[in-house]
Amino acid sequence: MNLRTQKRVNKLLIYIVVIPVMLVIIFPFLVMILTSLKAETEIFVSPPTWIPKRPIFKNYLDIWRYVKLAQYFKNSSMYAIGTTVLTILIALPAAYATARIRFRGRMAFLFLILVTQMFSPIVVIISLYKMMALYHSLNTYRSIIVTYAAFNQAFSIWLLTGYFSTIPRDIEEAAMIDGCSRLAAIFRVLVPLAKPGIVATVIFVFIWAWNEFLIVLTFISTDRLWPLTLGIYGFIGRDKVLWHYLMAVSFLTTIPVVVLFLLIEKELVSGLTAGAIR
Amino acid sequence: MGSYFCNKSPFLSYQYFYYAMRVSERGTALVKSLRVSKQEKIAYLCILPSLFIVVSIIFVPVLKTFINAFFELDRYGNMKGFAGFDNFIRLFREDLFLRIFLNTLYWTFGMVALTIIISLVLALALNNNFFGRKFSRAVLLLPWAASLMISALLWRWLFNGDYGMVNRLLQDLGIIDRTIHWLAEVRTSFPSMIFVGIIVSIPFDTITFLAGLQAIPIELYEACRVDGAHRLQILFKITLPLLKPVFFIVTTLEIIYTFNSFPIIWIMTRGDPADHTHIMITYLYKKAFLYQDFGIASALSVFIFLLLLMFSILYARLLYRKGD
Repeated sequence: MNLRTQKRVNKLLIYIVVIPVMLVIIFPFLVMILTSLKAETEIFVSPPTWIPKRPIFKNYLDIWRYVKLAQYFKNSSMYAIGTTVLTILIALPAAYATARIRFRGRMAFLFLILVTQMFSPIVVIISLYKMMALYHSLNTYRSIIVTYAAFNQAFSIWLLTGYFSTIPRDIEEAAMIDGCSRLAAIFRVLVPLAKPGIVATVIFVFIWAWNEFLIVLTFISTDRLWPLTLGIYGFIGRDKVLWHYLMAVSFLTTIPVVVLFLLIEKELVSGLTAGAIR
Repeated sequence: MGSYFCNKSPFLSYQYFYYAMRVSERGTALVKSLRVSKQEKIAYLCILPSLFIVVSIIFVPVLKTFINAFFELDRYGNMKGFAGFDNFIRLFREDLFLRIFLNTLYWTFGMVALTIIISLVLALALNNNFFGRKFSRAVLLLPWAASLMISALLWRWLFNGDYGMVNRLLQDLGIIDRTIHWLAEVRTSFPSMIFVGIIVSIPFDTITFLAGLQAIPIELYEACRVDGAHRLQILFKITLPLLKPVFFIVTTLEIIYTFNSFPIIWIMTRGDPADHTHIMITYLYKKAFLYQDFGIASALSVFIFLLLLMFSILYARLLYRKGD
């Protein structure tokens, strides 16, 4: 077997692996777009048609009246932004301390935080639900944001500590010798240097909060406070599931996140690698 | 005797003096170590908010769940009286318990094994240069960016027996000749959901594997090639052994993640038909929030907690042995 045929076999093998997986991944999204353009009469036809006979783009306008889509968008943003801000605000100092200061109980703290990574929210959801009811916090923004922030501590601290420890300590110390206070050294030197790690954390937390389902399903029952996930989930609770509307809403919700992912793919991967692979 | 004592006494007193010195030294060291330095004060202040939120939102409820599991609870989850192990006995006597336990094992290990194998092969393929590589990597992000919930809803529609595109596709390809009600029958619904679980887990695993592969220095491959090593030899002797740490992390994360996965089953079948496609997580939710049987639900929470704890101890041991 000479080199050229070997290369060809190589290429062939690659395509045999990649193409089927890609097709299976694309398939549902393709059907999503096609279904979202169908008329209601064309949804419930057996066997179903592939391409809508006459694509109805008006579906994308109708859904804004059919469900409170704008409200759901606003709520999702509130939950996700609130969670991200709170999480970073408390994870950043904790990560700084564990990465830079040798203090007693450091390992215990890290262990405690890491243990929470093992629990799914489901193990605590019943007691947490009762606790929120006790403090009259069901159906509030704060119940969601605080809970999300708690469940994101492990991941954020882990990622940020990993990132901080890749930055040489000397740089801050030099700044402190030059008369910077510790706080100034952190904000003028460390934080700018750790920006990629912080950005990665922000993105992961934001997306986690944007897509979360279980906690919000349990704590929020009034549709005024529903995020997009529950708004979409609400479709299948109705007598008749209007799949064309559902698909249109899904499309609108997914697109911003997909675009965001494509824009930040590099940061996403480097953020992951900083934490997981070193 | 007396002389013996006298002879010995200077030595003894020296010994005592020595010990006293040591003890007082240690004492001051201890006092010093108990004193919190300024550095440490800053550290404790820094971790305090994080510690507070994690303890109050996660650890306190875990503790309360443990206590609840041993009490009789009413429909609102209020304690009525001590129950001992009654909740656990009721749980283990449920007709479906074994079924759901087996489902959970099936779901977790079946899905993780298949996902890891597919992702590893895919990552090895994507690590080469070929036409469409960038496009493939972009496509890979799709199921990750879309929430689990949306993926689950999409597939619920696709698997619809009368109007779903899966039947249409398989008929067009000539693979089946009658329509199948995928999610309505136990035989097909559970495998269908595992299939969906695999599709949504592939992106994260593949991308992490890919990052691991790219961390292997190219010089290593080149050196092997110069030495005349075969491709398969390079794969099994160089690539896979070096990928081991990443493999370990991905597998562990995936097992925890899959075990705890809620939305796919809840949205696609909600455990039906007849509660036969539950895993423990979804069954727990149904027991608590639909049937309002908080006693059994708390007992199940404890059971799940203990399983996860066992798994993490096993994992820590494995990791420790690896460290030796």
